[in-house]
Amino acid sequence: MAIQKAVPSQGGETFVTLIKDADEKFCGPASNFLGLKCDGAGSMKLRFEDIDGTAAATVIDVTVTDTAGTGVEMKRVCQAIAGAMTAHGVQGKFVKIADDLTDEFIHPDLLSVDAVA
Amino acid sequence: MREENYLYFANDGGNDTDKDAAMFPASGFRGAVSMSSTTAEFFFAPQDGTGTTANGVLLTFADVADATGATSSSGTGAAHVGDGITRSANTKLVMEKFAQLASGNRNNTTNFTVIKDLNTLPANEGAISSSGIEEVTAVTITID
Repeated sequence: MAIQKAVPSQGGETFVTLIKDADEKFCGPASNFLGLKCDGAGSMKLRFEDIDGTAAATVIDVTVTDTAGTGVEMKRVCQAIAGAMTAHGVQGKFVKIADDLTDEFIHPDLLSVDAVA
Repeated sequence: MREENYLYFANDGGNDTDKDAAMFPASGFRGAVSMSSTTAEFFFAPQDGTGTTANGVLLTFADVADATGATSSSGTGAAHVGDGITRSANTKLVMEKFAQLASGNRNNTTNFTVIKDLNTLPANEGAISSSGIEEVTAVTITID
């Protein structure tokens, strides 16, 4: 059974979206975030509870800058994502983390969305 | 929604290999177990969404040799045992520091908390410069 981490709304939820292309997009509540991991040099996997309610995860692959050799770019992207998902200040906000269609990214070290599955 | 705190872990691999780094929501923390006198594993709800086998982050730290005699590295007075037995004072210390960091829920911050990052870090960049719990010397992340 999937872990249900969503909690009763106090008047708003932060929704995040990641877009690869016209066919592969994700939008979901930040409270469904399961975590992320480094998946290799310049590669990260973000996971959210599956939107169809099954015991699985929606997995989003993204590419980040990897030039410093210390992984600091990935850390900066993690910080930006954490900041995007917090709900302070604006209730019911909608945050675009990455959009390959419009070339909009929440941090300059976040380069692309490679897969949404 | 509840304000979330996101916990960041990284080994010293430069984030170049699978599971060199990971970030978990603090609400996914399931508990910590002492694995030896120098290791403790912190478990989280699995990122695969199944809710079954937990993901783990094994943190390594030094144990404390307690030499026999009047004084030792474990301290003096009540802290000193003096029986020559090596203890794991850092187990409790690391768990306590983790609890303090994980339970932080701070307004007007990004809620991005570095539990441990063993990479070489730039200076003067706030959480980016943070290496986390100083007693931790190694990080091993298990995510199935």
